[in-house]
Amino acid sequence: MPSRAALRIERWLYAVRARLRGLFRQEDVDWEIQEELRFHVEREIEARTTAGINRAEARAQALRRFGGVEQRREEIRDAHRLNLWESLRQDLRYAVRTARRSRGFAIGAVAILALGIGANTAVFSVVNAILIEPLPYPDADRIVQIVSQSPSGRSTLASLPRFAVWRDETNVFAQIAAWQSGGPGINLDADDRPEHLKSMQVSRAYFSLFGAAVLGGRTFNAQEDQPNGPRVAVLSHGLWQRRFGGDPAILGRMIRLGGESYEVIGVISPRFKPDPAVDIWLPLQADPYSRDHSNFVQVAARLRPGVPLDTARTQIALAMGAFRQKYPFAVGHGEQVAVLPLRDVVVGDVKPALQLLTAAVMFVLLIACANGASLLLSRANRRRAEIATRAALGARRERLVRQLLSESLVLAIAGGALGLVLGQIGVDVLISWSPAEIPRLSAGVPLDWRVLSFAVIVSGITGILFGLLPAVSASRVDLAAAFKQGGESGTPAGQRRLHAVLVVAEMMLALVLLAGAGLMIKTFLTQRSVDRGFSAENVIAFDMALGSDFARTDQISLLTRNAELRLRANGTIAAMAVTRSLPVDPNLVLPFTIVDRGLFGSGSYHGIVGVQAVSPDYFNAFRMPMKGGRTFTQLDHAGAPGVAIVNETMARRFWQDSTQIRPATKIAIGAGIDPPWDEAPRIIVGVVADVRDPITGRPPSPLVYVPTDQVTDRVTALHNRLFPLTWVIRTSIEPHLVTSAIRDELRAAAGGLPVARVRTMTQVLAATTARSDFTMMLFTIFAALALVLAASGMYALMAYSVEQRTQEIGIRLAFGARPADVRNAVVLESARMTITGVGLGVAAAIVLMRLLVTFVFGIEAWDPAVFAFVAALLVAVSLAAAYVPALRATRISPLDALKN
Amino acid sequence: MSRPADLVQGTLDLLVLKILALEPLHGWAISQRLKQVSSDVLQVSDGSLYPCLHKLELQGWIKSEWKPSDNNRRAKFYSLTRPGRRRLEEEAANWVRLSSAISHVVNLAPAGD
Repeated sequence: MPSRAALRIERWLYAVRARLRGLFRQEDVDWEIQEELRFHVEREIEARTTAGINRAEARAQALRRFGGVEQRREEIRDAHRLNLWESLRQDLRYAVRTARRSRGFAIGAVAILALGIGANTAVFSVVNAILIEPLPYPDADRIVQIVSQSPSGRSTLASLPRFAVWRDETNVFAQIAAWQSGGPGINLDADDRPEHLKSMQVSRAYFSLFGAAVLGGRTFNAQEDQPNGPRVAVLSHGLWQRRFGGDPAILGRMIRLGGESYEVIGVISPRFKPDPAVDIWLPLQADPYSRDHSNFVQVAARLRPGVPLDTARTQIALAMGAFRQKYPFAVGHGEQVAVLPLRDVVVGDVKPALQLLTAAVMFVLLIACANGASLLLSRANRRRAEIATRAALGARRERLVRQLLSESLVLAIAGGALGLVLGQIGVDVLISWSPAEIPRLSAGVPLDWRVLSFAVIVSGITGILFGLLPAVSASRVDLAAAFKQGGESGTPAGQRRLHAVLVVAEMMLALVLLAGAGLMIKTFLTQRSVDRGFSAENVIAFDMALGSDFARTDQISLLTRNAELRLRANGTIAAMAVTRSLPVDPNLVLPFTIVDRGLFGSGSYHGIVGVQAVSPDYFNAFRMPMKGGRTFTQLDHAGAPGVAIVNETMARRFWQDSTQIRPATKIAIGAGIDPPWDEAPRIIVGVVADVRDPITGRPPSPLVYVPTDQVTDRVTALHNRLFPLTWVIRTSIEPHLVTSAIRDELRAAAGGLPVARVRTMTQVLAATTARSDFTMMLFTIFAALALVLAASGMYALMAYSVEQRTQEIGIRLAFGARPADVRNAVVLESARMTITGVGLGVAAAIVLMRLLVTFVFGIEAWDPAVFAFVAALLVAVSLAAAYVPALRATRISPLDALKN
Repeated sequence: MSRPADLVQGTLDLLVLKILALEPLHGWAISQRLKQVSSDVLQVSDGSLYPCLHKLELQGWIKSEWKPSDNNRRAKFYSLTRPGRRRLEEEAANWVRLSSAISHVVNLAPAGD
């Protein structure tokens, strides 16, 4: 004997089949009805004619007996329609009416769903745009980038000899290209309006690798990409429009860049969107026999069809083995060369932060779902009397379930629609808040409909699940019991417990988010209190790309003096200097030897050191304290003996400490590299404080400062290729007030060269912390959202609980219970749940925060003060939320309660 | 009981299920059986049978199939589904209970006069 449930399902399947026929093939149904009725009438006529009645009479009798064929047909059709659409419409209409009647509940549920859906949609859309969407190049997943990985991190930069080896010693790449970006840029010389351009030097295959089509003209040919090849340029569509008015005769025209003439040979289609943006492309003209091992180009390649990534990795590893044999000094200690999908490199270290935010926003969605579920639960319980009445009046259980379901559905749809709006706003806010250097956001982020539907489905399922649960049990309710007790009490204990479990779960999830946010905020504050070793206040940096007019050291010295003379007249300048990189920026890193100190074993140098060229007032401009010896002066000019200042870390690592450096100790920078670094040994004249980076928390590395006047022309040329010249100016007043005056003077001193970029040092530092600040801020917002949701969940539960026990409380009060006792009982009930949730949350947080440590640098996983604070905060907010219904309980009038 | 037909209409479902419990039939055959079993007491038009059949099908109690009939024309044959058979058993039991209760009441009534 089949069970009842099996039979119910079977019947349901038959019903669905019959209904689907009508839903999708209305004509077939009409035809069927017609055929069926015609068969009946003809059969009836047949029966009568066989009995001897003439055909016309038989027909009339049959039709009379049938009773109106058209009318019957319409009746049958109605039966089909009514079953499907009519009842659905009834349900929806009823749901909307119910929602309108209990406005508070509807608004609350819709708002909670919308928050959950909106936050998720926004974050996932951004994550999707950055991590999941393919890069905007044809067949982008076949493009790989070759990078080096060492214990200190990943570097995308490579040298020309490496590029040559990767290109010539492998056969796995269809195209391989090198390019230099992020350099100083180049100036477009024009008498009226010189402009600094974002330039990129690229090898020939760059354009075909990235699928950059030309709008007109062509890209570089092999001959143009040879060393000392002709000066040619390819313009971006934007530059062509902006500076040349989209002139179709631009091809073949000569333009002046950085003091030299270049022929324009092509314009790139606007469909090609390099990231970061580029104004103009110049040929890299890399020497295939170069022995310059400075790393300044990036290398990417397209895998040949059918070649797996692993094969490319093996070939590159083999090529690097040979390279290491040939140039042992050119491969760092512990360095590995890796072949990675381009997207992994582009996305880089944003990934962990995004994964973290994704996890956080999932927590918010979970809390929102739990909150919505508990709202639906208490609501359905409140309506037990109504449902019981309807059941008593003959409403079938299916009908009741469907009605409650459609109510949940109406709420879910409204929440989804509002969530869509919130999500769109959220995406815009996220983009406008996000730090500029987060990749791939510049192209804009479409709202991801897959994500939206995911969130809507999740919350829809929640609505259905929790709309259904009470619906099933409420409609199965023992009618007699529900009526007897006035429908007010008698909630099944299981549902009460489920409700409490939901609120406890909300508390737990909220605590985890709060703990994360607390740890991040604390790290944020700690990082800001760290002494960086220099003062950023009132310092402005002006970048300038130097052209052929400043190719030699003496030309730059002259430029510096000239600018100093001009700016000295401006009384608001406290100190000014030039440098090739700011305190937080990377420097050239070179091997060095200490003169008159023996080398250990077969080594050819004593250590590796960053080298930074600065003018004398640099330390003064940044207020970097000297730890010994003297600073640079104007007397350390080109003709004077070479001098150097080392940082504390270098002094400590190579001389124990600054006092151990004997007078006239000399170091030879660039020792043992090939080709030789043409510099005479320098005397160490001073030791300066370390610059610390509290964000990465890396210990400072050894650094040696040399006067800009004392570097050789070859080094100046290298600097010009890699770095802008940066003016560092400390003002005695608010820097914004004098920025434009200073810019004009600098420009005049440089013979009209434009200033490429102006940043206050505060902005520079803010940019270095922008990503972690962004993560922290979003995390904090999510935690605050979680706190509000959890508190409102607690409020809803306690309000419901008080309402349900109105009679009980009334009786207690009537029997002389003090209001304070009643209030305390309610608060105690919520306290029990809160403490349970917080306890579980702390346990979960202790485990999960260990993960956070791997995501966010500098965070301590276990911080009792933070844990105690967020736990106390959650308890306080939760009890405050419970206090309102508790007060309401004390105001219950015993008389009214009993009358009801 | 001013309109005995109403009562009969409500029991039409049950009668149809009962008739179909014996064998699958098309609409005309069902209407003939209805006349037979109810000894022409049921004064319903043949046409009102069809909305009833369609409703029962949409509710999953009966299913239909187009098959050649005895005169070789294609007709729509209805048959009971398993859930329909179960429902018939339950409703029939109810009906017996109810009708015996009613006849009990009806039999009591003259005694009360």
